[in-house]
Amino acid sequence: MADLEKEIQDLKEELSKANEEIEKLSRIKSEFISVVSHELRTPLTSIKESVSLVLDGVAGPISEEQKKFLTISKNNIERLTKLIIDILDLSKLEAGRILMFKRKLNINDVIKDVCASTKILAEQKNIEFTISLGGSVEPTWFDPDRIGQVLKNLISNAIKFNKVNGKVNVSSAKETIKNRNFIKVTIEDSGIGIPAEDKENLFRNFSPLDTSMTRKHSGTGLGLAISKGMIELHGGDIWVVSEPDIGSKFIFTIPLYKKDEEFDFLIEEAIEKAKHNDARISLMVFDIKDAKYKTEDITAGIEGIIRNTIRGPGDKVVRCKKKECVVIIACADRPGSMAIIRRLKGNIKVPLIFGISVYPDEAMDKEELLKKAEEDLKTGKNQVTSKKVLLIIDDEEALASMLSFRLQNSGFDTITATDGDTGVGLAKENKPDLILLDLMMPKVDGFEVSKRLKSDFATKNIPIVVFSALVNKNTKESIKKLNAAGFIEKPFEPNVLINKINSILEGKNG
Amino acid sequence: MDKKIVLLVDDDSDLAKMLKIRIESEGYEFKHAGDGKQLLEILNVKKPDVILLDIMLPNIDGYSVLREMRKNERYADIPVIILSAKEKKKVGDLFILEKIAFFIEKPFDTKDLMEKISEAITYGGRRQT
Repeated sequence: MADLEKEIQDLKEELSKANEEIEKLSRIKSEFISVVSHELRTPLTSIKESVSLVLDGVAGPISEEQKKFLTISKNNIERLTKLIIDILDLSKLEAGRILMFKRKLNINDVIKDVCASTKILAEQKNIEFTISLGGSVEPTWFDPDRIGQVLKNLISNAIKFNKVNGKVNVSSAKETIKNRNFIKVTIEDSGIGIPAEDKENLFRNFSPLDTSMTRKHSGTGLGLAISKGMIELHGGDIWVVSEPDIGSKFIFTIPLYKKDEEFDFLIEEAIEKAKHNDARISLMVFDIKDAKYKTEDITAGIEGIIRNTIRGPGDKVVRCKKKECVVIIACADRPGSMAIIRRLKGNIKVPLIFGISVYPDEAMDKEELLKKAEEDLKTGKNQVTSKKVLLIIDDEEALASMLSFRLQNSGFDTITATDGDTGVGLAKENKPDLILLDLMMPKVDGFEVSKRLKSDFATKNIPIVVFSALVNKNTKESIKKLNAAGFIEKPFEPNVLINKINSILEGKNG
Repeated sequence: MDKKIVLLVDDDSDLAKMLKIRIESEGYEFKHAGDGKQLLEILNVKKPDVILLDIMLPNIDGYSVLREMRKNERYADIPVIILSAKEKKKVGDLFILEKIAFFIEKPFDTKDLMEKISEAITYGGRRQT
């Protein structure tokens, strides 16, 4: 019996080792393809530009015959470029390294855009190109670039593989499949159709049907495989219905989310994105049990403040309501999302139940993230109100960052400024609990900073600890006049500083 | 009126030779820097109206060059078009941070590049796509 158990254990270990190895190989492969793709693009750029310089006549007049051959060259460069881009996309899809930038949009708008740009292809073949967009199509979450790519691929296929004077119709509709709502997009053509035995292979890389046709139609043979991957990453499906000699219908779906589903979806998205970017995500939960907070104005107001605090298109703010709380997820592409939470302090009247800021490796999935949030709530860790905020103003960047590191380890939250002007600005914006101020700074020095802070209503009550290296009798006198909460001579022992900070903060509170 | 100046920062000298012909044929003055150091040298002499910046540069990469450049107020408003063999998605955040006017993937479409150059000069570096 023991032998058997040991054998199973050994097998398990072997299996997990093998799995690791496969994952590693897949990563190496995808990295290799990525590097190679970039290396191929650079010389291709020069080839393309040199050909078009001659072809466009910028380098002097050319004959019709020369033009003909250079056009062949140009078309093949385009094809090669597309192939490289497709291979890169596909390798990323396979390695699970493609990131979707989903936004809540109406797919009809994307369909209109793509149709406008592909219309010319249809006109060239005298194909009747029609669009019938469903009025009941609601906005849903998808990456407009990626879905646009899929649409473009399917529509240009429908045109390319069609007969002259044929028909292509693009339509959208809302549909319920197995109790779930989807947006369904159909691209219908009057082409030669696809034989039943080929349907299975159609969505594979370099599928036989596709390759035999690609040379004729300048495709890459990868389009359908990429489309399938993209659609699946949206939680949708893609398939084909076809009748030989009558035509084919390519259909794909994208999920529509109900309120509760949207909440889950958005949290997962935020985690996924943070993981990919190595960024933090912040979760802010506001209590709206009280009826007076339940108005749309108030929740929209919170969202507005957060939007103003976060800067950058990559930073995402979403709001979802669930029973008795509003959850706002902010995804910041750079460290500092804790600062966002901090800046909300006092700006919002609605009680903040908790706010956490985590790196994704601390929260691998939604369940873990929520669990961590709950734990933090219980222990008080990471809570908005639990940490005192210190503003460090010092022109010596190295010292400021070391000090900041040290203070963070001692349970403080820190903000740093490396010049006086910025320091005053940050003080007003963040209203820190205490300011550490270096006196000797170029341009706006510590004396000036202190003067400005003390004269501003918003900052005049914040205690300031000044530090300086140059202390003679005169400076000592001027420092006294500053009326600072504390003074420390450089160089100082970090512990001395921390003790001083603590005693000032406690004194102030008590 | 003086000709508008287009400055290319790219270590690919073949591409620079060709873009010189193309860009001059469109009525601009063309300047070329092979790396970040040369860029700063050119900036000291004359301020360009638009910069075409490659990312994979020798020694210091394009983003660091851009960051350095933006620190100087004199050069903070020059429109910058990124011209790179790397993908756009990876740098979403920098779009706003460093005020990139456009991101063009290599190999580029010349007509598209010319349109973006003219647009960047007209609307300045703050326009986002």
